[in-house]
Amino acid sequence: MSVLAVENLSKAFGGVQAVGGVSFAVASGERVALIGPNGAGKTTLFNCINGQLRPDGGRIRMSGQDVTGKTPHRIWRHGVGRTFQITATFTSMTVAENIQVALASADGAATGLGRRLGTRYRAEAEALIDLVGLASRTENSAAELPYGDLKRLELAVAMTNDPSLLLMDEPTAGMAADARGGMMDLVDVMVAERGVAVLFTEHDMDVVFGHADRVIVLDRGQVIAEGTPDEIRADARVRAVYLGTFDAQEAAV
Amino acid sequence: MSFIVVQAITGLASAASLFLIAVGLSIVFGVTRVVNFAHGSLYMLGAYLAFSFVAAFGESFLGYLAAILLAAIVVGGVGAVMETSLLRRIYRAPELFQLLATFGVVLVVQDLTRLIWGADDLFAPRMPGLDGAIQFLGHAVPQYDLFLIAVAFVVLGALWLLFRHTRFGVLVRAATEDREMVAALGIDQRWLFTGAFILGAALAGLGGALQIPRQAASLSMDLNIIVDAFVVVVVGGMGSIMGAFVAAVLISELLAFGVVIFPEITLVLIFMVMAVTLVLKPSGLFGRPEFTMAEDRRNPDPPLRAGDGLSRIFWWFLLVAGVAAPLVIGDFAVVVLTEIAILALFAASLHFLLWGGGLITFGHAAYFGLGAYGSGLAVFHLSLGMAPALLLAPLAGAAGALLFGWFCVRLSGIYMAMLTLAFAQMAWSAAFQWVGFTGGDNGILGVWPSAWASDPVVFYYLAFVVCAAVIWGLRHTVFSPFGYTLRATRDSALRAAAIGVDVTRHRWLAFTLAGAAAGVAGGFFAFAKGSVFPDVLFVSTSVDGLVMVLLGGLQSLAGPILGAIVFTEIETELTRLTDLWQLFLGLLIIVLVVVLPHGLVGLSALVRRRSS
Ligand SMILES: Nc1ncnc2c1ncn2[C@@H]1O[C@H](COP(=O)(O)OP(=O)(O)OP(=O)(O)O)[C@@H](O)[C@H]1O
Ligand SMILES: [Mg+2]
Repeated sequence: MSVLAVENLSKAFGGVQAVGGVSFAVASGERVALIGPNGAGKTTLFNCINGQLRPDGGRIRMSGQDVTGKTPHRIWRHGVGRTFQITATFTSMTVAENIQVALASADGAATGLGRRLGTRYRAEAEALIDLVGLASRTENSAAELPYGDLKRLELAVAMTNDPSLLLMDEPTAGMAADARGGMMDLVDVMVAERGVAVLFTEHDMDVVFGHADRVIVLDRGQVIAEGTPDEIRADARVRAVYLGTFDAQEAAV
Repeated sequence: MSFIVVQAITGLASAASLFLIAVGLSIVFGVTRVVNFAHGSLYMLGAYLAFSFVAAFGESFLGYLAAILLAAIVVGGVGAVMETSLLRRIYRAPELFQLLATFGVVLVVQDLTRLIWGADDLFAPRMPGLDGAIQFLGHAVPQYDLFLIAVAFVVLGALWLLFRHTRFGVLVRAATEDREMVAALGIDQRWLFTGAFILGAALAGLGGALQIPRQAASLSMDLNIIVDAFVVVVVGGMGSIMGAFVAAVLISELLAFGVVIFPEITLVLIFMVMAVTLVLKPSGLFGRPEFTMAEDRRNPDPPLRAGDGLSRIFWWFLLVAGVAAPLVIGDFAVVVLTEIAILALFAASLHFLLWGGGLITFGHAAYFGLGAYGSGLAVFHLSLGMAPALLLAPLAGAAGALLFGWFCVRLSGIYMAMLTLAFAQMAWSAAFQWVGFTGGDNGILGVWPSAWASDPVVFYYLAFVVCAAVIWGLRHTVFSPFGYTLRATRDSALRAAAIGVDVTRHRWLAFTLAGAAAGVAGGFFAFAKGSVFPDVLFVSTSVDGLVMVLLGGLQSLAGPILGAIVFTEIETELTRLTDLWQLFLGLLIIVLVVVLPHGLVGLSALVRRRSS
């Protein structure tokens, strides 16, 4: 059974049909890239899947269960981890604390009034910090992290509930070109070691073709193509939509 | 039937003045995004100025009219001074600071008005030519009421023309709808802001000046009108002129008929309208929703370090000083110290919400006051002893917070501040109007401690131990998973929700917890004073708490304690020396917001940084 199944999903803002009848599925352990030009509706689709927006129509199923219209904190309990296009972290906390808060929530202890959080979930937090390569930053404030490290922190936070699906909105945006590969290698590690499926949006075609098992192309709220990286590379319609950026990327390769 | 029509006309006349003040508030908010608490002060100034001008040259109809218009113009000038000297400095400050700074102006204007015109209510003569009544279906309708209604329509029409057909008006509308765009067009925003503020101030002045034939000029008219104006602006939609008009009529008619049908709860009714509107349509009837997806924390707080050297010393020092002080100080000082312990808890519970949860509340007095009334009423109606009455205090505070909080935590920023304020005013008006139960203005007397605690020193130790324990509990909560999660919702509600936190519920719980803690303080306050008056629920109590928190420093857990100590000491000393305490407090608030936004704790950090 697929981890995520989206059926005929739609969402409009006023007159703008940001997502217009999108259907696709993500299988367990699969890495799926969602690409498309600016304003194609990628982030809106993500926001519908993780419950931040209520879709106007269509269904979303997680491992067979209907989660359409549920709030983000409920959807998280269905095993969805999310990273944001503009990183969202707890800036008044250290790297370790950011993860400890998430672990407490995963443990159902968010409303606990007992022992101080600083002393709890420490070992698990450190393991995750090691995994994303932030060991030297453990006690740094999230507010002082460089952008690339913030993305890593978000990934670690998103992994705290052992998700079956990671939603990553532009995981490498804003990173130096040479750091992008490292970040995506990390995602591959999560997939390999923890069996998580990944749905990510990305503008860097190297990243897409190097790290996706399958690619879905969105344009003006519609899926215009879907297939393996090789198929997508050869697709004429995709080339038309990506005219300019895509060709430039190709030329650079 | 005819009675209904006449009552409706009375309502419309009130709506006219409410519209004049609310529309100015709304225009200023639309352009500057500042909710100007001092807008009611401009209204009051308009009334006092008009009183003086009428006394000088208001014998004829035209003289009276000139007096009213001149008052409005002078108030517009006062607005220009206020905008250029103060508001301009706080446009970028957090909403809480803006509200507080403009409340500082309220206090300053109030004391200055008292200095100039005296504390007594001033009755102006009726307007010549409009001092009669016309007979309408057997009822007398004051001519002046009809005049007021006409004025409101004239102003509405004039504003409409201004906003459609002048460059200034078009820019004001553009700024209200999209600030970035105006900035991008390279328009001199300063000029626009000052202009909008002068317009709003003059309208408030006009509203106040027009009141004097109907109602005496008094020192309480500023806060009375501003709270109603907030309700109108929120219900109508911030920044909307039509909204202000419709909501003013709605609220005024509700009041006019409410007085007839349920005289005891008219005010409560109004705030209910506001609460329901905000929950169902947060942007008001005519307002447009603002998309603020991006989260903005420009100055992230440093991570909390539990018990680092300096703060540990501070807490131990407080504990030792609190225990030892009664042994060395006099009786009066013990009474002051008791008050400090109580207010420190009040401030700490407020700080828990403000800093710990980023929940901007302007009505924390509600829960303090409910605690006080909970204890007081238990003594008065149930003849309970001190101990059981004190146990009721946190329950009363928590129950109020549970109820009000359910609405408030669904909002954010300025809307949350206004709704918390509205609920507190609602509690205040209930205490004030429900004379049979609460004693109204006469309060509840005879709330004295039990015999075993009647000695001031014994009562002090009791208050100290309980308040210190609750403060410690709040402090511990900040470090507990609950507190961290609360702070997480403050740092990024988006991220908190994405890691499984039910943000609304968590905030609601925090609100209730803080309400219970404030209730404890309120209960002790009742027994410390031996009485409970509606004042404990009034906005000034909330502001006192906010000043304590800011004075100490918002970003430190010790801040509210330090703030409560310094604030209470200054107030005690100053009220002995002078009757200009409000003036001083107002200036203190303005200085705090503009010069020292990090409070005393921040001051020490500043000095440390400078010297190293
Ligand atoms: N909250 C909102 N209110 C109104 N319109 C919105 C909102 N969010 C997105 N839109 C509109 O919906 C469309 C899709 O936007 P979306 O952010 O989903 O695109 P995207 O594919 O993520 O683009 P990008 O690559 O730039 O991140 C755009 O036209 C955008 O302007
Ligand atoms: Mg996007």
